Amino acid sequence: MAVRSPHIFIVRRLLLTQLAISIFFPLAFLPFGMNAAWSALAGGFASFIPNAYFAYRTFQYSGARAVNAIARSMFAGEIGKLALMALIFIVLFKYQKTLNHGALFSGFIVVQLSVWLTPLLSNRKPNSSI
Amino acid sequence: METVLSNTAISAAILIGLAALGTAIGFALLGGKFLEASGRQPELVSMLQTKFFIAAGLLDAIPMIAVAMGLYFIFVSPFAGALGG
Repeated sequence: MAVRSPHIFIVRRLLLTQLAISIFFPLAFLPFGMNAAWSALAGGFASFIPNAYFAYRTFQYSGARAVNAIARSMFAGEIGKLALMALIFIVLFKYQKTLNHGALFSGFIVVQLSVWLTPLLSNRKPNSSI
Repeated sequence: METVLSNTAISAAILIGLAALGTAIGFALLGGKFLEASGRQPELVSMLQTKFFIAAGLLDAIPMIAVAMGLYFIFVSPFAGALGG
């Protein structure tokens, strides 16, 4: 079902902010080498991809008649978010032996904590271009 | 070495378990309140959906970091590596 919530602009802004942080934060690790920058990028996306999946599942249904479907989809989304994040980290730790763990966790934690910016993002008026 | 590995496994289990417990309690409360509020005022469902998403993000930010750290301890074993294992 199509997303119709008028409040979804906050979620879009949050996801775009997370994507921007995921992409631009690794640039701070370039002085430490490409490996550190790639690790920070991987950490950022390890947080962004599960969060985007959770957003998709949360807003998969809309409308007062679909409350049960919304709740079911939200819980499934949360389980999927945790499972997806665990899977990404397992794959990274198992198959990527040259990871810079400090950079990886820096990228992950910064993107993860960017959710706390939501009150700042929601104070502004919605922009139709986003 | 065995002590380090076993203690790391126990600490990772505690880390992931407590994170899961916190998330479970938080989501149970959050989901219950969402259903309660949407039952009372169905016209606010779309707004509640957004609030749920934001609260969920705030709720599981730290537990997800804890799970990631737990997986790091399990799969990378930094303490065993520091001892030369």
